[in-house]
Amino acid sequence: MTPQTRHISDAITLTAIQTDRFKTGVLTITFSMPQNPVRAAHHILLTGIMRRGTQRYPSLAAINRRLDELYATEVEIRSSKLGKNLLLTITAEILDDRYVRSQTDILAGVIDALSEIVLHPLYAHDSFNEETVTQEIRCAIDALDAEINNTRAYAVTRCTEAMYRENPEFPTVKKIKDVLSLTDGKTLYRHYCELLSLASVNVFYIGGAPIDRVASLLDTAFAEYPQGARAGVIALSPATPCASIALKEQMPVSQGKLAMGFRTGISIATAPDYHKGLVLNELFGGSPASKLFLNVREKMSLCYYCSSSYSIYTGDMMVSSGIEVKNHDRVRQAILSQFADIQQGRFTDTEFEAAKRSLENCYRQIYDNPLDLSSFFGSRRFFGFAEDVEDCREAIAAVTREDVISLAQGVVCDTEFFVEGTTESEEVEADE
Amino acid sequence: MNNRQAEIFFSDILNESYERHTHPCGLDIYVFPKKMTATYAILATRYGSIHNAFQIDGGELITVPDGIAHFLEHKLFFNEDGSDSFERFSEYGADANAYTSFNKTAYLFSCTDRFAESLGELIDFVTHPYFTKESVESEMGIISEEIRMYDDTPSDRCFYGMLEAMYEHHSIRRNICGSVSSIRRITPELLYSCYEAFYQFSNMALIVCGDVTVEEVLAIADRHLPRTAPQRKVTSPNENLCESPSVFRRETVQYMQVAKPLFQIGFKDVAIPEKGEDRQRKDAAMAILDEILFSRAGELYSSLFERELISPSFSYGYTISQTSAYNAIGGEADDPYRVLSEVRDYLDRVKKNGLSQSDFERAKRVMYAEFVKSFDSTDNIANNLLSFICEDSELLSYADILDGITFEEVEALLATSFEEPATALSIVFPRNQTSSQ
Repeated sequence: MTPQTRHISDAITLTAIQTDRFKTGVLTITFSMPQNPVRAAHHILLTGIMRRGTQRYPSLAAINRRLDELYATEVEIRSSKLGKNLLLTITAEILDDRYVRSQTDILAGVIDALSEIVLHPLYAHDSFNEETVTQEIRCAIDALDAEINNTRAYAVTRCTEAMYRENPEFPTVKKIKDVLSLTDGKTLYRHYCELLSLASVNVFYIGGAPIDRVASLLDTAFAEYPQGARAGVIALSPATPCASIALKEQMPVSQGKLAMGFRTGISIATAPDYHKGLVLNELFGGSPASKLFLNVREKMSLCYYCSSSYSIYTGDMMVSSGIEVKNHDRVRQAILSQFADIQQGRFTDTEFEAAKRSLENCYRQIYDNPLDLSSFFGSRRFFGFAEDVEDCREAIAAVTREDVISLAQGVVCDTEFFVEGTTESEEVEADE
Repeated sequence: MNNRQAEIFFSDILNESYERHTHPCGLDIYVFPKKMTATYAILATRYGSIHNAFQIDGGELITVPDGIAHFLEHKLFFNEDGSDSFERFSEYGADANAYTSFNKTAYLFSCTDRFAESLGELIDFVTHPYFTKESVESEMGIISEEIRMYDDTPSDRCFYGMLEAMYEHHSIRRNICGSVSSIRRITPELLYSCYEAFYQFSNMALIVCGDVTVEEVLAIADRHLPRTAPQRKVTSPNENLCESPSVFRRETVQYMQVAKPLFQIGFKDVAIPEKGEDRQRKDAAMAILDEILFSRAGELYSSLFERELISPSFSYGYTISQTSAYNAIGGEADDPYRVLSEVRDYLDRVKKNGLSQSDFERAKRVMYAEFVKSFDSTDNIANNLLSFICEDSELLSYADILDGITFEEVEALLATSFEEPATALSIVFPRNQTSSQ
C-alpha cells in the first residue's frame, strides 16, 4: 500500500492509497494553522457550527439525512493539536460502492457533501447566526466542564497543562473558555474566513477508487476554494523540561488518579531516535507485558490499571494509574522504581524482546484499519516525513538494549498530578 | 479430526463466509477466513454475571456471590506452574485480553505471527483452571480497584441505575464485577464449582478470524483438546419469567461529581421470543425503529438539541438476549425530567400519527450500511459472531433479515413498545444539586 500524491490546487494536496481490502473507505480533510489559544477556541466552535447545516442542507436533520442517504456515511469534525500546529479535521467513513444494491455513487456524493460543509456553512451578512453561536459556545463550555466526569482523563490533562505551563501559546482549558465567552457570530465568521485563506489543506483518502478519480471529484467540488499563500507547517521540536512540580486536587470520588509526566527529549523531530522512545515506552508501561503491568499491578496488586503512553510528536511519556488514595506514595515510588530499573539495565532480554514484539504486532496491524493508515501516513506526510510502515518496523527492530538504557538515563519525570479521592466506596449489598 | 458436523455459511452480497465444526469433545469451532494482517481468536463460554444461581443435573439450587464470573476470568490467566499466561502471549508477540458480560465470558488474542503457539496457549490456559487461596487473595486488591474505577464512572452508574429501576429480580441489575464486599466471599472452591458447571465444551465456542485455513485451526485444536469430555446438564432460571412487564420503580437518582446531569431512559421489554432466529428478527426490526425515532437525522433529536434540552452526545439502542430485553436512550440534560416528558409526548404522537415510509427506507439503509462496515475488522467479526452464537442465531443472514423487515412489521412493533408503565428514568445529578420534578 504505497501512498500517491496529487496537488489539487495551490491550497489542497491529496495523498491516496487505492486498495480493495476494506468495505469502508476513509476520506480525511485536514486544515492546519499555527496554534494559539484564540484559534483553538474558535476551531472548537467551528466544529459545532459546521455540523449544524449548510446552505443546501439548512439544518442538523437535513445534513444528517443526506449522509444517511449516502449509506450512513459517518462524518466527524474535530479540532486537535499536532505539535504547535492546530488542526481542524473532517473525517468521513464511506461504504464502498461494491456493497450497495442501488445505483448510488457514494464517493461523489460524500465529497460533494463535504465541500458543502466546508464552503457553505450557514452564514449571512458576514456572520454566523448569533443564536446558533451562543448555543455552540454553551455546548463547548459544557464539554470542557465535563472533563471532571472522567477523572482519569482529567488528571492527564492537568498534568499535561502543568508540563507546558511556561508556554504562553499552549491552549489550556481555562484560556479556551475565556476566549469562548467573548466570541460572537461575526468574530467566528472572521476566523472561518481566515481558516479558508490561510490554512494549508491536506486530504487523505484510502479506499477502492483510483487517485485520479478522487482528485477529479475534489477538483470539481472544491473549485471555488480560495487560492493564495498558505501558513506553513510549524516544525516539531521536543519539549524541554521545566522545574519539577507535583500538584494535587481533592475530588469527591473514591479512587485516586495519578498522572506522571516524563520527558524523553526525542520525537519524530529528532528522527531516527524516536523509535527508541517507542520501545522504551512499551517496555515501561505500554502493554500487558510491561514492567508497570507485571509489577505494579500483577505482583504488587496495587491497581487495576497502570500504563504509559508516548507521544511521537512531543516526546512526552505519560503514566496513568487508578489507585487507593492511601497507596499514593507507595505507587509513585513503585512506578519510579520500575523506571530506575530500566535506567540501570535491570530488565531481561525476554522483557525487552516482548516489548519489541508487541510493537511489531501493533504496527503490522496498521494495514488492517483504514483510520490507522490514515493517521500513520497523514501525520508523517504532514511534517514532510517520508517514513512508511515498513521503515518504522525496521527501525523498531534495530533498537538495542543499550539504546533504551541510554535514552532512559536522560529521561526526566518532572510533573505529577494527583486526584485525591475523598469518598469511601459505596457498598451495596446483593440482597437489597 | 473426525468431524461429527461441519456447516458452511456464506453471504453473496458481503462476499464473506465461515465454517462451523464440532470437535469430538463437544466444542464448536468457527473459522472465518479473512485476508488481514492480524488474526483474532476467542474462546468463550455462555457464562456471565447473571448466572449466579444454577442447578447441576437437577440437583439443589447453588447460589454464588456477585462478580464471581468476572473474578474467575481474571484468575484463569494464572497457571499452576506460577506463570501468567499474559507473559506467554507476550513471548509469542500476541496481544491478549478477556472480558465478562452479563451472559458470556471471552478470552481472546490478536496476533500477526506465531498463531499456532498463541492458539495453543489460549486453549491450554482456559481449559486448565488453577485456583488457590493465595492467588484468590492477591486478586482481591486488583478487582477492588477495578470496582472503584467503575463506581467513580458516572456513565456506568447511570446505566446500572436504569437497570435497577427496570428490574426487580433479574440479576442483570447487579454490577458485572460485583462489589468490594461480595467478592470477599469468593473462594477457590466456589470458583471450581462455577468452572465445572459452565466451562463445559458443549457450552463454549472457539472462533478464529483471519488469514488462516480451517485445516490449520482444526489441527491445532486437535493437539490441545481432549477427545472426550464429561457432560453435565446445567440450568439457570430464566429470570425474565419473574419480571413484570412494568418497571420495578420509576426512577433511580444518584449524586456524583459530574458537570451536568446524566440521564438514561429505559423501556423494559419482557416479550422475548424463545427461538434465536425470532429474537434476531425482533432485534433487526427494533434497530430500524430506533433509527427512525432517535437518530440525529430525526425529529426528536433536532427538537431536543436545538432547544438546548440535551447536549450533543445522545445514545440509543436496543439490547435483547434470551432472558432480558430493553431499549435505552441517554445523554446529558439540565432537566432530565423535562426530557422524559418530551420523549413521552413524542412517542405518543408518533404512535398516533404513524411512521413515514421514507424514514423507514432511510433507517433500513443505515442499519444495512453499519452491518456491512462491521466486516472490516477481524476483532469486530469475531466478537459479533460470538454474540450471534450466544443468541442461537446466524451472523451472515442478518443482512437478508434486515432487508426482509417490512414497514408494517415496524409499525406493529411501535404499537406495542415504549409503553408508559415500562419506562424508567435514571439520573446522575451533580453533587449538591437537589432533584426537582
